[in-house]
Amino acid sequence: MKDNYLFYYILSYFDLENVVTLSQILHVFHAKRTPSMFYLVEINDWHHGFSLAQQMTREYLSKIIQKLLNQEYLVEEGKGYLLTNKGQIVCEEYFNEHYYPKKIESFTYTNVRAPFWNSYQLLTQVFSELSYQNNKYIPIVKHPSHQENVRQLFQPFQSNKKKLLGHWFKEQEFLFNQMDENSADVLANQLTGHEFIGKTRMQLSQNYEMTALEFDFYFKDILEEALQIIYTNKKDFPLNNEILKKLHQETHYGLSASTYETYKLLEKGRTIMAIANQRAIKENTVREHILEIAFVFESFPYKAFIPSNIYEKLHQGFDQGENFTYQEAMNGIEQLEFMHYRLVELERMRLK
Amino acid sequence: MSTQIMQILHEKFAYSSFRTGQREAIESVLDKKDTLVMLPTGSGKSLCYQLPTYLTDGVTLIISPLLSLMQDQVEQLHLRGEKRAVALNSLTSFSERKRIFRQIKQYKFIYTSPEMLQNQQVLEVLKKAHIQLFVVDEAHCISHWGTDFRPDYLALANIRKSLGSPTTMALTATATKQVRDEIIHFLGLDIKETNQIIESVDRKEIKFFVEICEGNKNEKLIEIVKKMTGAGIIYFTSKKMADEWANNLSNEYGLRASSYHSDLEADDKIKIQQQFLNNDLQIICATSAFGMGFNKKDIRFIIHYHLPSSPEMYLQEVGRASRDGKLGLAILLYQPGDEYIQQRFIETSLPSKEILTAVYKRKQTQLSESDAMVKLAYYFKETSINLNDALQAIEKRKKIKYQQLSFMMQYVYQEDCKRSYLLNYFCENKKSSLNECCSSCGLDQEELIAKLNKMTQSYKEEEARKRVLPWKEVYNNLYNNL
Repeated sequence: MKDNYLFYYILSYFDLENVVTLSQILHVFHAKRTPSMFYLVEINDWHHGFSLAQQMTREYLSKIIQKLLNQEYLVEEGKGYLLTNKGQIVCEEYFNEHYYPKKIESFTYTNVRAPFWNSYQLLTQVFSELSYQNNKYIPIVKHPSHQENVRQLFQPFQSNKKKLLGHWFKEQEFLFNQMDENSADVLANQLTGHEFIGKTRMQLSQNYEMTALEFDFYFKDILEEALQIIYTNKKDFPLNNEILKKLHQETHYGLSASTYETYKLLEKGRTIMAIANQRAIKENTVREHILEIAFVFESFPYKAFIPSNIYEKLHQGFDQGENFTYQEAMNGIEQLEFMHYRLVELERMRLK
Repeated sequence: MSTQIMQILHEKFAYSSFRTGQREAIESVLDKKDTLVMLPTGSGKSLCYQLPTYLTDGVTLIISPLLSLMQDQVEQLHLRGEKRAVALNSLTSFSERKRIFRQIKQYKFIYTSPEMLQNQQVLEVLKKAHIQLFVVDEAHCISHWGTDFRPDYLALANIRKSLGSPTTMALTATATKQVRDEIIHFLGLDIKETNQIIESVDRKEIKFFVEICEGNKNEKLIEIVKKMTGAGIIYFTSKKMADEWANNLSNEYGLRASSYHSDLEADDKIKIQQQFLNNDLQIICATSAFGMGFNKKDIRFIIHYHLPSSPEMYLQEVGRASRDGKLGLAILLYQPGDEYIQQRFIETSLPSKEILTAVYKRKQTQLSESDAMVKLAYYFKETSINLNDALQAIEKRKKIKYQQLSFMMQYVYQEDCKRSYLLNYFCENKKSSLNECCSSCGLDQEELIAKLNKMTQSYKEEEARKRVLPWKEVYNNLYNNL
């Protein structure tokens, strides 16, 4: 099967009316953490592409876009490109036949998805071998941090591993039962245990007659679904949530390392100026961190950072027209900061 | 001592006898002699340092170039019941590192990377550990003449000295005399005092063929693979081709094939290895990423779809066949023009004059070249080599690579014994005439394949292997006594 999934996937980023640039797409793939990128991802539902291809070069993407132009699926407009009607039709036709990612709608699990899967596979293997009383096997996941997490999970149960095993059985069975049957099959067939080797993603993609990248998206959606089930059913998944909690800590809860440092200080009630001084960074950088936190943590109390009069005036401005620009806002609102504008814009986007 | 050695061989390793070269290497380091060991791939080099460790006090420090190789070695030791083995590398978490440092004297085997040893804190801790044996695995990485030169290896001589110059063992599989001499020199060893245990690179059980193709390489590959019933590896220079061929062989020809390359996730790599070991897979379509540290005894054929870069790489890759000592087949498919692929690699793997100059003049923001090239440029700068010397070193390295490629081209067209030609590169001669040797010596490929096929095991029914199981069935298979 010829794999031109990436070609059409990139085409799906373009729009009939709004110009999209090469840089914007590249920055999404590279997971560039700026307020404008977070906004772009949020407004376009591009979460599934965030950090998709950290190694992709500008040259490579440029070649794909050139091909799209040659096929008249795109047309140049200013510094970017617009989708053509022809492009829209072929894109829709392609994704009628192929899977398009649809379950990743936030940044919550961006950093934790891959390490969770590694931990989950390792745990399954460890418990499987334990059930057969075998301790001589090659671990399916070699990264020491995952092996360390498993060791720590076992520590309180050293004298009663059977009890831990029992908990695990229940959690895993419950998870599979909560999922859609196909999703559960895809997840299960990748697991490895005693005298049982899981399939690789490439092998399963052939089973499901998907291209490699298509299956990758399909599987990421399945993982996203699994993580949401685990997270929202804490009492049914104590072991999985313990691992998840550890991994969230290790991956800064989806934030960049620096933003996480700012977040910890905000939680302690420090002001923007105090944080900037303490961390020897600019106040504007702290504001960018606040924006990142607001985008990643949906329950973050961002209103505390917007003076109430500015908050009201911004909403009034947006009520008059959703295309209310930052320039227009600056003309009418004194002491407005970009952070205020962006936070209110985000709030309105989420309320829609 | 001899009795003790045999006792440990039996008790700790479950072997009753040594393979060629192992005993001499072990006795050499037990005599506190620095030793260079060159044994063919798959001939048990690890035993050469693991066994003597049990007969001495103190710790054996093993320097390895690959994190995955280190992890594999530690796991193998753990599987054998030896828990006093640890890997100390960039993947080790801060808390884990602290724990290792606290318990450093309790270990017998510490695996680490050259980069890790440049950390002063690590070095201070190791000084307290009483390193009695300093092992440099894949020692050819220290040599500019070697195929896999790693600048970090050049720091090992000073590191060794700061650890009190313990008895040193350098291990390599395929190295010319020039490389061996450089290993000894750059490790700071005395060439007159260093024992050299050099076994032939020849693997008599592996038979060499070259097929010169004229636009029919794909057909040739399919023709050969369809005849084979045993396990095999097909090497490609591109990941895309490895994927395409694995799909093709699997979907079009019903063969149990999968691809393997560096783009695979770590867990998928292990699954492929395990499936191959388990005979769930017959053929791996791979790039050079596959094979190091992997030991399947009954691989019957290795096919190179593309021209390898050097005789060292070629022998290392074909050396993955026939670890059980039985017959194996090595076929190199060559289409005129294939050499341009390797030439492109040579040109793009080494930093250009522009990159070196940009790094030296701190104009790094202009750089958009691959990380490997930029890293090498930084290495030269950080070791205080001036720009001109760095440029010369790069040119020298390029020249060596072209010479190695040229040798492979000549190998392809060589009408005399292929085996002799390869051995001559390592200053060896073919020891005796073999009944079955290579395509130039008149060996019949069909007859050989028929012999190989008689030796092969059965594979699982393809449909059963490919089937996606319902999750309940997987769940029941995974756990005993649910």
